[in-house]
Amino acid sequence: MALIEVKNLSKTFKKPIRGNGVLSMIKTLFSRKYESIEAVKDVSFSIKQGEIVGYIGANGAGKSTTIKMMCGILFPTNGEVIIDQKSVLKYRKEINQEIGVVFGQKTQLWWDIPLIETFKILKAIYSVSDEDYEERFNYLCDLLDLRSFLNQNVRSLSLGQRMRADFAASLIHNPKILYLDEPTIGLDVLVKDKIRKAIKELNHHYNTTVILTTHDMKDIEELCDRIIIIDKGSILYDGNLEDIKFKFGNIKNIVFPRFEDFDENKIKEFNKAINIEIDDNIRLSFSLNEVDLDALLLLLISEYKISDFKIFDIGIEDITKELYAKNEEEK
Amino acid sequence: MMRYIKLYFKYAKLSIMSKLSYKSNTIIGILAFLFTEITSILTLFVIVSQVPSLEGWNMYQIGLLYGITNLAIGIDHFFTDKLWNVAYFEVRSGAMDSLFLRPLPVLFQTIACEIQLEALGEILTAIFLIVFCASNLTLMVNFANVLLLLIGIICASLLISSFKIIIASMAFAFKRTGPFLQIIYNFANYSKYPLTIFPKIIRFAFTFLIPLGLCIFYPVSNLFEPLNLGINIYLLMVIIILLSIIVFILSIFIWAHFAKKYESTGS
Amino acid sequence: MLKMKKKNRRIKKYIPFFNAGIKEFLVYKAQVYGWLLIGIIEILFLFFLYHAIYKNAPEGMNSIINGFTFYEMILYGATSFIFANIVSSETGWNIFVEVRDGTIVNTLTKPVSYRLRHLFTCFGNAFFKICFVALPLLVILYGVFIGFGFVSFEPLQFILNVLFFILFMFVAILINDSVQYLVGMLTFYTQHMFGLDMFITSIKTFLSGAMVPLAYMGVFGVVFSYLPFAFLASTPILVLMGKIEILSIIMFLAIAIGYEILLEFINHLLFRHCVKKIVVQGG
Repeated sequence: MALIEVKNLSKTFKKPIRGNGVLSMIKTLFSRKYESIEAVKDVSFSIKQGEIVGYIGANGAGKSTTIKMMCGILFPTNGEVIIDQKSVLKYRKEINQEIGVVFGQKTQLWWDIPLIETFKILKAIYSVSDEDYEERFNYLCDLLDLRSFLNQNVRSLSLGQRMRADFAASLIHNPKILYLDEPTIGLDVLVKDKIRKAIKELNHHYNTTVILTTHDMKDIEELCDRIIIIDKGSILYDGNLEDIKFKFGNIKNIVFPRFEDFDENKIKEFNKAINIEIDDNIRLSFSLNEVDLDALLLLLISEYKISDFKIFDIGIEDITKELYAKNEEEK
Repeated sequence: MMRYIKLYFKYAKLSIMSKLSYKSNTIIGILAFLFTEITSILTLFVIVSQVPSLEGWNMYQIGLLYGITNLAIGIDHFFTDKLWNVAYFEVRSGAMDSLFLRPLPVLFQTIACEIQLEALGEILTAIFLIVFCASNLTLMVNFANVLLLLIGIICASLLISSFKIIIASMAFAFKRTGPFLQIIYNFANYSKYPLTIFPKIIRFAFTFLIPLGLCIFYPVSNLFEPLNLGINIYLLMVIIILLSIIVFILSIFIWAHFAKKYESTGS
Repeated sequence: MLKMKKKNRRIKKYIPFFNAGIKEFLVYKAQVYGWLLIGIIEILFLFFLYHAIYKNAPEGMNSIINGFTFYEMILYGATSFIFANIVSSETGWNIFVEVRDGTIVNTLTKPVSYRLRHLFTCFGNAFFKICFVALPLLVILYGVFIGFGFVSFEPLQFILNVLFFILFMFVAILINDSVQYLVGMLTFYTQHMFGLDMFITSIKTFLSGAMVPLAYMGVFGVVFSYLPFAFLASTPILVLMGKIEILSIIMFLAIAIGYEILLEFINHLLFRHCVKKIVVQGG
């Protein structure tokens, strides 16, 4: 039984056309023209309890718009979102009791007062019982390491601390569903790791369903069983991460600085499937389906004496780009 | 119901804590309102002192009316100041999102999340003006008259809040209605002066359509000489209470209607 | 010649700020309508209030109170409302936002004068308001009052008044922006704006005679008319209404310019102190 059902969701925005010059602005004073922008087009999917789903796409692809419609704070032009068999627009208060939301850019904490007060009032807002609150509060404090700054004013917290606190605040009422919009944006590696671990642990401990949007490939790799890729408002892909990686041939890049007596033939001899680009750096790109990474690294180290190199995965932007190109071809 | 009252006090506590974390800001705010009120009272006296009496009202009587109206405005300001932000910015900026994500009525959260301490500046000057003017007048003070006055003040505050709710809620559909909220205050200014200086149509409007006059003007004139409205004073109280509660309930429904139209900003 | 050219170029780089000021105003179309509606309510209110005052005065509706007939009072009130819209500046708030967000550091590194940048934004803003809002309204207002014979009218005198009024209007915009700039600079020390702005606004409203002519305030009014605030409302309006003699007009103009120079001098000193403060805090 699906927990969340998104059915034929579409959203069209009306945007006033505004010129840049002073004259055209005076014109808009008297009359205004609109253009419509289809931010989300006929999107459908369903999510089961306990899944962790990555909802990904480039900027402006329609991610946040979809998430906002799933939360019930943006009305679909068409279609509907059903959570627990209830339409999110009709049962706002009941649904809100079941969801937690973290928007990476906006905090929901009380800005000018000690952090602990936010938790206390959230307890009252969501009518959490004393025992449940104790249990969850302690659990979240340990999980996210909040105790050292519970009594600080929120406005004096660092971004990483605030993000962890926001994350805990969205969970204090033990929601069935957690929406995370760019939860790791702007954070340093250690905090990112901490948050990822927390999401996993939480999903395991409370069987919380998590839907997250992100630009960070690592978020997806470490967390998501399933990804939904959206581009220009439509779903390009819905399935598990391994599949798509395989579909795109598990592409890896190795980059190292260019040096004088670099001889590309040795690499070509080793495997013809490796694509070599030379500019300031030398970039080898290849598919793991065709090339043995360990052997290649060994070759690089022993033959070329390269010690300074980086290995990249194909980025989410590249995947969407390729997916989009493929879709166009199929048409 | 009990739950909401408890929650209200929790919200209020946090709001006051927030305000007090910027102590100097809050104090300057209170003083600024105090000062603004003083200058507008001076303006009033400068104008009214040109004539011995204004339609039979002397300076102290007008001052009393002015003070009592300001008290009602100040009380509303103290409790519902957030509505200004809703009408001016918050709908546009998408800052209302978090309220729509909590399992509580949005109007309740909007009202509860801000206690405007700056309004104390207004309330204090109003009380001072009332005491000063009253001590220079012979008033007919008895239980019924005072009760009528208190009911009038509270109901006038409730009415102003209700009109604010109605106009602020329209921001959900039209994004920005702040300037129209300003108009309520401009109308409230009318009721700081004796209704008798206005033509019949405005007097009618302030008695029945925007019943601020009914709530304040008649109870205040009742302190100078018994009202001649042809109805019992207790009946007048009941009418005032019923009217303001009806308008308040209406404003809640209008808010609920427009809140359904709230859209977070896209992207 | 070369010097002229140099000067031209120097002014040219502020034109974008002038344009930005115009745009800032244009964005808020609803504001114009809202403001007009408020104006109608306020002026109607003034009409009723002064109607009652004059009716209750010893000589009835034909009384002259403090040198004003009933119609002149209404004209004064209406002009004051329109004039207040021209003489408004966002400079203080703009500086405050830059101080609060720390973006002031970026703007200081650019080769434009910080003071002139804000002044040109204010001019752009005022230019639009004058052309599209104030001027049409004033023409209608004076057209009606003169056309119906509510106020006395001598063509030559009136033209002279209008010319002086334009001069005083320009001075008023300058002085007001200087005051706003001063308030903006003060936010360096106070870190907040709302209360400060409210203070200044209420002082300005009262002392400038925007609410009620300074002549109503007896001896105090005479004193107030020599303060810088009087040039933000009272003096320009009285000049337009022909209530000030030509010699006094010239004297007031000299005083106003004196105040403006003094204010800018204070601003200059304050700015230098604030810049040091930024440097000390390390941005």
